[in-house]
Amino acid sequence: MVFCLGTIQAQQPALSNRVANYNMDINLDTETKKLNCSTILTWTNPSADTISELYFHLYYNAFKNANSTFFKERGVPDWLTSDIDETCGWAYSHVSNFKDDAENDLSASLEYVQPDDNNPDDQTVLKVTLAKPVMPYQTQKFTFDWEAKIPKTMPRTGYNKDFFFFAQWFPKVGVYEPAGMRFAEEGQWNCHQYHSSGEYYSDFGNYEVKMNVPSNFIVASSGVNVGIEKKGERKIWHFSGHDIIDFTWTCSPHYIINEDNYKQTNIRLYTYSYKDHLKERYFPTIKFCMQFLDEHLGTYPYKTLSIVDPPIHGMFTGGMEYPTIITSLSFCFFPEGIKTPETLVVHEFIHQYFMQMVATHEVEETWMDEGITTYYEGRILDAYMGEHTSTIDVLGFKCGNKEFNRAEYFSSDSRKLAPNSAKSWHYKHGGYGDIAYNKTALWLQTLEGLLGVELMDALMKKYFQTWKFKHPSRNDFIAIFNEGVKEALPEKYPNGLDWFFQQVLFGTNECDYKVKSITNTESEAPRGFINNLDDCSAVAATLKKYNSQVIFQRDGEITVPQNLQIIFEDGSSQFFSWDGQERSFDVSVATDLKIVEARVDPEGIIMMDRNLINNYMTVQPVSGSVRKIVGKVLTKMQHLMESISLLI
Amino acid sequence: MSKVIESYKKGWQFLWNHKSVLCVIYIINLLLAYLSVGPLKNYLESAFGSSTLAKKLADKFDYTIIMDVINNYGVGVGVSLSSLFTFIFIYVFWSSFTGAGVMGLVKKRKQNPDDNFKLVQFFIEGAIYFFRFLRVSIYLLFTYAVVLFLMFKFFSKDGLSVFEFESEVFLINRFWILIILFIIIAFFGSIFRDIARSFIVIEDQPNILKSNIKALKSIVIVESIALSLINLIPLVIISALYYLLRNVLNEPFIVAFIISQIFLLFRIIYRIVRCASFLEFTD
Ligand SMILES: [Zn+2]
Repeated sequence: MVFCLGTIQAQQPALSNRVANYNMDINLDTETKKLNCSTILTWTNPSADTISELYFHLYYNAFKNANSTFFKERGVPDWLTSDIDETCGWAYSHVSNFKDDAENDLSASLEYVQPDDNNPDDQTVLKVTLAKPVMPYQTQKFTFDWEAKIPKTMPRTGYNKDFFFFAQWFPKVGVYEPAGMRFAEEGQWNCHQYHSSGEYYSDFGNYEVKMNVPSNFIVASSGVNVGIEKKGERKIWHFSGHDIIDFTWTCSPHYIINEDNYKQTNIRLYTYSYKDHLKERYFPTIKFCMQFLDEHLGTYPYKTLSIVDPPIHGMFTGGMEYPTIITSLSFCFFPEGIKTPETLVVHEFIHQYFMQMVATHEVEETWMDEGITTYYEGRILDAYMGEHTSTIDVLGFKCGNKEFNRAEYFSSDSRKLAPNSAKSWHYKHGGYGDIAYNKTALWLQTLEGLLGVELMDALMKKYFQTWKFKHPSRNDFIAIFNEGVKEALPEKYPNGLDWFFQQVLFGTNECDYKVKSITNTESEAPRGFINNLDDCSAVAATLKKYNSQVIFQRDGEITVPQNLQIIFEDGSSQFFSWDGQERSFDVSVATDLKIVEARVDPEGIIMMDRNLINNYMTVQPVSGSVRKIVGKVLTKMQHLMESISLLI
Repeated sequence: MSKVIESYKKGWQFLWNHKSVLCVIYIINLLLAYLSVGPLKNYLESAFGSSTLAKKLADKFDYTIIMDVINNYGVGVGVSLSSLFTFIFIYVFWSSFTGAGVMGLVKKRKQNPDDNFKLVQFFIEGAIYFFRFLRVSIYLLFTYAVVLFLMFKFFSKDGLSVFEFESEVFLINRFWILIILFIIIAFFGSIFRDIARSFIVIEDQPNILKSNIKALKSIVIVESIALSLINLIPLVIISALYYLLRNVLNEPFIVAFIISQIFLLFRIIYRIVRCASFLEFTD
């Protein structure tokens, strides 16, 4: 019996170059925790080179034993694997029967290689030597069988109880980069081992995947469900995904499904019944997010978006992004003021744009994926739920997304361990999240401040539209911005923004400007020989009452042009500009009114400034304000003391 | 039941006739709180220097400013917080002392109703019973610690490994059951405390064991529960009003401060009336 859910995908024009296309028939054995699969890979050589090797990611071999690079990089926290030996939660991925379209059996040529660290025990990259090379721009079909033992509760993937989640799971072909693409000087394979941080970099393609699972299981997946066939006690679910870089699926007998739509996209929420009420939070959030990105970058072109909110025993898969399917993470008791579910769906959905459609290399240039996503996460969530309440709003404790990420960055002592340009496995001693996510978001916010939000939006849109369904590198991003500012702000940035990217992408320096001092000196009549040599007595001159001076100082190593503001005692202001290059800079004015306040970056656009407190200075005492703050703490303390005495 | 109402009324009468005791307890509370925030004040003054962001933070909670203070002038935060905890500890002692003072005074006044009241008597009575009261508090504290430990054991009886759970629903149910249970235990604990203290004052024996045993027997008596409830109901109502008011009004700081002080005064009144009424009731 065959019946269809939804419409079978109409033949759409290709959105991408569809280099790597997969047909997979998968059998899931929920008892032995194994997958058996036969695959047809249809691969197109995107270059003028003759290709005589293929490279595949075998991600599950990262969990084969504790000698893998993933394990050695401490990618698997102990709390995930406390019972790994007793339950044999280890995994593997084994390819066999590898043939080309001339029926040459290439299985004997299969060889594990370790391009990144020469760890001989790492088996996450498989090399296949071809008997029949793939000629320039030609397409060839390869077939192979593949068996996998599914890991138990490993990072992002595996099973627990009757919950299954398959991410980074199938033998996935690497990316062949023709000369001139990204950093390739000549044609080369780009297929890194599976590291503890960063996953994505794959070619676009079409996926036709059939999953044979027990009939009581419900499947959520990348792509569109085009049919379910019942076969005895099993069902075969057929999903079809076009122009995507990866394919992920999950199944469980307990999923309940809620649906909503945004324009042509059918949004499905897969969760467990006790978390059903969270749909009231997920759907409005995701629709706001989709609309924001639709307006600011471009349309989400896929027919489906699946949101999976895993159960508590499946939380090792939460907070992840995959093509047309994302995972959130929540507890059923989360009060509305804890915005984790909203934050995660927004973050993971933005990845549909940055890493999925704009298919950057997460391992080599994490910031282009996680950093840009974190930047938009702040913009969208602050717009949706308020800039001081979009992360937490509980019992008077309020915190917005942008400010949370900024504070997290500056609270970290790992924030200078590597530049943004570092590869994911180079963050050996920490700092990955701080630098790739938060630092990038901070300097993108700063860039937005320098350029203005309209120009920033225009350039980001241009970047997205230019590079969607392609593989840009940082140079392509920088080029879009350099051209854009030279065109839009030729006087301000005649040479583009290399000076900015050089500092924030390739360096570990920090930014800190401050107001150092304000002085108002009463003017004195000029003394000495002033007008002629006959008379050295004081001359009557039209003098302003004060010679006032404000000194601004640069304490950080990063230089950014600064706006300066001085405020006089009648409330009036004057604005100045400083290129921010020197270590200090003064503004001196002759005035009848005292300067009472000075501000560096008064609009608060340089969000990467480490210390905002010292950006504002007044000559009036602030002790009244401090008293007020302390007064609030004092009353809380009074009540706390009394509460404790109530109990004992 | 009329004894309960009579005792409660006498508790209020005691308060009315000894308003200076209320003043002393309030002033000491204020003083200790003031001293406890001293390091914080110095720290904030040095951190903000002359930054106008202090004003922004004074007007409303601002996470960015707070975190910039901590991240850039961080060392003082720990010192400031540890000073707050020290003063909480001191206040626990003081609250035992004030309980002893109030109950001792009630007994004294009953014995010599015509004597003029001098505030010093409050301190003398407090000193007489303080250590015995403190011992009751320590027993109670120990009991709560054991209860909390047992509760934690119950809460985690199926382990705390999230991957073993089918769902978090049962954890939440368990959590709420334990919270309610703890409130009930604390309710009876406070009855025990006040009756034990009353027996200590009435019998004035150096050994408090007998008083404690008698108190244990009295905690399930309907009248004891009724007296505790009568004391608690106004406190609950006023607390609810206070939190409602605080959320509804966006008042200037000084008004908020005054409302908070009035609420605090009421909480101290509750404590005095409760102590006095329990002694009247037990006597
Ligand atoms: Zn992300």
